[in-house]
Amino acid sequence: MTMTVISIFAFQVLPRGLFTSLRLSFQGVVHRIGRTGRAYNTGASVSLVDLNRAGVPLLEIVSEPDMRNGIEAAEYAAEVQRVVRYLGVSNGNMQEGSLRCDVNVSIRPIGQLEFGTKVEIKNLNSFSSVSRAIDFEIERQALLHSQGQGDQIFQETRLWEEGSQKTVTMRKKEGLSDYRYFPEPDLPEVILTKEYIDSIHGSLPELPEVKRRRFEKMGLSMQDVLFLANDINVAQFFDATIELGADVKLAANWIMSDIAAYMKNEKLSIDEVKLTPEELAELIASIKSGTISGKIGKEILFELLAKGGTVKGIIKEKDLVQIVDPSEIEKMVDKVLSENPKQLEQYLGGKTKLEGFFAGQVMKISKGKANPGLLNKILLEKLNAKS
Amino acid sequence: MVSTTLHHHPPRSLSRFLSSSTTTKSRSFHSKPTLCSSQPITDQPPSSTSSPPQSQILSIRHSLLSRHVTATQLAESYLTRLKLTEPHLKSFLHVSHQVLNEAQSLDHQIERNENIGPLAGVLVGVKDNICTMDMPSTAGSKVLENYRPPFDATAVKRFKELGAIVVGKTNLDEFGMGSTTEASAFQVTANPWDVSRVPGGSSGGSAAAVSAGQCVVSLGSDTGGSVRQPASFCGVVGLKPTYGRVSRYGLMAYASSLDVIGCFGSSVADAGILLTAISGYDRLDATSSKREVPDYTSQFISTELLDSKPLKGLKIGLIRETLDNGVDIGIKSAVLGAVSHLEELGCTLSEVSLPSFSLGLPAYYILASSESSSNLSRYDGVRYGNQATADELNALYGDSRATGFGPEVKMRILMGTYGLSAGYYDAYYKRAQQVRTLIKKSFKTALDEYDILISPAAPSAAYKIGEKKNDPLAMYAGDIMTVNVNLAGLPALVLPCGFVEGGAAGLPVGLQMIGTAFDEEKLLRVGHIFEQTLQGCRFIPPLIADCNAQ
Repeated sequence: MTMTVISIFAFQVLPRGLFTSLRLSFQGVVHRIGRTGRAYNTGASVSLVDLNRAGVPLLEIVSEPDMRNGIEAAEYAAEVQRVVRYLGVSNGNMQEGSLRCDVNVSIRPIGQLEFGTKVEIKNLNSFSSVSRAIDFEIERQALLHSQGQGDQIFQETRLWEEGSQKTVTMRKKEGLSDYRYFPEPDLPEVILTKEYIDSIHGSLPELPEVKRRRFEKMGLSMQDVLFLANDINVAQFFDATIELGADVKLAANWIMSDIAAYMKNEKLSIDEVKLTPEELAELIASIKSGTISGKIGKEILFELLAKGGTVKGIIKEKDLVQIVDPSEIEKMVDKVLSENPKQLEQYLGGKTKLEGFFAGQVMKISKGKANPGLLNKILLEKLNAKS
Repeated sequence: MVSTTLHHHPPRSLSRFLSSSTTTKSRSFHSKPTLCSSQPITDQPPSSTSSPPQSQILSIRHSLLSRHVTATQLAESYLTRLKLTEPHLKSFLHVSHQVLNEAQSLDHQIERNENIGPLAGVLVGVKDNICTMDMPSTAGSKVLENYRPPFDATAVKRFKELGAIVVGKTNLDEFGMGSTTEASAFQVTANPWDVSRVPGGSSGGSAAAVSAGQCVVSLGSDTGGSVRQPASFCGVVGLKPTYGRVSRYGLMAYASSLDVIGCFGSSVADAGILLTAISGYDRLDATSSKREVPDYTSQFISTELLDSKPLKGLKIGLIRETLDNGVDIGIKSAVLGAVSHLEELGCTLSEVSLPSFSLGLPAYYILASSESSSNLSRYDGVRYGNQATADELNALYGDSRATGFGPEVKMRILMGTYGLSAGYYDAYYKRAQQVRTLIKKSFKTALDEYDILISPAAPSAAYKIGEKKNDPLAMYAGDIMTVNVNLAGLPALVLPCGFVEGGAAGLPVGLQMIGTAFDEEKLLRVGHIFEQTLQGCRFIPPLIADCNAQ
C-alpha cells in the first residue's frame, strides 16, 4: 500500500474526528505486482533468499494525497487492514509482510497549490511507525523550509529507523527515465462485465464502515462501536450473540470487558476461546431472568471461556441457581444477625455502613447464590425492624 | 471475469483430416483420393520433372502405413542428406542424437499394429529460440550457450504428441534480431540456392533446412518477417499465423505483442498441416486465442478436381506501396507474373493503396526494440544461461550481459530503452503505437473490400553474406514488406512464385499473401491452388541436386 501524505507547511493541525473524517481513496490506482522473494541477512557472510512467496499476487493500492498528518495516514492504513480482513483476501499482518505500507510525504506553504518535492519512506512495520515516521518527516521538511533550505528536500527514498525514531536516506530516487513503464503485452486487457462487477458487489460482506454505522444505530457508544467493529471475528461474534436475542449493551459489555481481558491474557483470538455466542446469549439471559447472579455469571463465563460447556450444564453441575426464595434468604439473614451481635449493636448505634458487612456475610453463607436485590430488601427490613 | 467467451475444445488430434484410420491395420488408404503423391517417399528428393510440390507429410504417412519404408529408413535418408549438406549450409546449431531411436520405436509400434500419430515419423527442425526439453535452446546467443530448458514449448509439445520427431535446433539471428542469420553468435548459415548468399532471417536455419531437405518441415518465429523473408530467400513456403493462433509458450520473447511461431514446408499443404498441429488455445499463453482451430487441410483439394477457374470471384488487392522504388525489378516482374497467374485462375486483381504502409518500418523498429529492452532484461546471468565472474552483483549483471549479448541485440536494447524513457516515450513509443492503430485500420479497410492482399515477400532476393552486415538501416529496410503484417497481427503466407537471376540456378522469389485475422484457411486454399497450378518452376535448390548426384 502506498499512501501519499500532503502536509500544509507550518503545521496546520486539522481538528477532525478520526472516523468522521476518514475517507478511503480506493479510486486511487491499483497496481498488481508479483512478489519475488525476500532476503534474510544472517549477519554472517551469508544471505538467504526466501522464494516461498514467489508468484503470490500482490495488490498495490495508491491513495490520493488526501491525508494531512501521521495519525490520519495510520488510520487510513488501519482501515485498509480492516477491509482486507473483512473481505478475507489477506490476513493483513504487517509484521509478516502481508500488508506493507510506504508513504510519500510532501509539504507546501499555506496557499501554494502545487505539491512540494515528495519523499518516500519505507520500512514501516506498524501503524504507529507509520504515524511517527510521517510526523517526523513533516517536521524535518518544515525545518528545512524554515531555514530557507527547501531545496535540500530531495526526491528520494528514506528509511524509518525505529531505534533512533528518525528517517534516513536510503537511496536517492533514480530519474523517472529509469522506470520505462509501458503496457505489458503479455497480459491482454481484462474487460470486466457489468454483471461480473455487480455479482462481486452483491457478494461483498458488510464492510467496516457500514458495520460501524449499524452498531451506532443500535445505541452503542462510539467507543463500543470502534472496539466491536475493529476485528471482523469479534464483530461476527457480537452479531451472532445479539441475533440470539441477547441485550445489545450487555453483550457489548461482556465482550469488551471480561472476554477481551481473557483473550488478551491468554493471547487468544475470539475464534480460539471455547465460549460460543449461543452460550454468551444464554448467560446474559440467565442473569437477566435472575436464574443466576451477575457474580455467578462471571464465574460461569470464565469456565465457558476456558473449558467450554453450556451455561445450563455448569449451573446444574455446580448447583449455582440463585436463591430467590425470600423465606430462605430471611433464614440466612436471621442467622447472620444473631451470630454477629456486636456489629448489630454498632449498626443500631448509627454505624449504618455495616449493612454491607451483613450483606457480605449472607452472600458468603449462600455461596454467592442469594439474589442480591432480595437480600438487600430483606436485610434492610430486618435491620429497620430492630431499630 | 474476462469477457472472452469460453469455448470447449475437442480433444486435440489431427485424425480428422486424415481420411484413413490411424491404425496401421488399415489398408484403405490407397482406395481414397488423397492429396499425397502416388510416389512413396524415398531417400531421393522429388524427381526432376516440374511437377508441383506434394505434401511430404502425407507421403510419409502413406509410406509408413503401407509399409513401403520404415520410419528408420526415412530418418536415415534425411540424416544422410543433413550430414552431406550441413558443412555447406550450417543451418543447425544442434542435431538430436535421438532421431534414430525415436524412429525405431515408431517402427516397433507399426510392427505391433499400434496407433501412430498423424505426424508420425515427420522430422521437424525447430528454431533455436523455441524451447525443447533435453536439447540446447540458445536463441543463437552466447548468453544462453549451454542452456537446456526443462520443458518443451507448447508448439513442440503438440507436434511431438502427434508423433513428429525433433531433428534438431536451427540457426537464427540472436534472439530473432536480424534478417540474414548472420547475427547468430555461433555460425553463419548459407542459402542452399547459392552458398555465398544469406538464407534470410531471422529463421534462416529453419528455411534453409527445409529447402535443402534436411528435415520435412520446421518451426520458425516471425516478429517482423522472420519466417516469411527467409522462406522467400530459400524458395520454401513460410506461414505466419494470426497473432494468438499459436501459443507462444516456450518461445523466447523478443517483442511479445508481435511474436508468433510460424511454419516452413516445401509445400503449402505441409505448412498447413503443421499449423493445424500446433494451433489452439493454451492456458500458458494468455494471448493465445480461444477460437476453434479449423481443419486447415480440408483446403488442399487435389488439382484434378479443380475446374479451369478455381479462384473465380476471389478479389485480390495488390498493395501499391510494395512496388514502389526500392524494389528490385526482377522481384517486381516475378510478382507481376504471379498476378497474371492469379488472374488466369479466375481472381479479380486490383491495386490497393495502404497510405500508412511506409510508416510501418519505423513504428515496428521502435515497438519491437522497446519490448525487447524489457523482455531481454531477464538475461541477467542469474536466472538463465551464462554468468560472468564478478566481485559484486551489479558487475555480475553488467558483465554477463556485456559478454553474453551480441552487437545487434545491444543496439536494439539501447534503442528500445531510449524509446521508452520518460522524456521520449510520447515521441517514440506512444507515437509508434498510434501508427500501429492506423496500420491496423488501413488493413481492415482493405480487407473489407478484398479477400486477400498480395505483395512481394521482400524487396530483393537473397543477397550476399556480409553485404548488409555493416549497414543496419539497409538491412532494416528489407523488412518493409513484412513488418506491417505483424503490427496488424494478421496471417500471411509466403510461397515461391518465380526466380530472379543469381547463383548457379537463379534465386527464388516469394509472393506474400495477407489475409483477415484467423482466416488462414483462405490463404492456404489460395496458396495451394496457386502452387499446384504454377507452371515451369521447380524450387529444388542446386545444392541438394548436387548431393543427390553424389
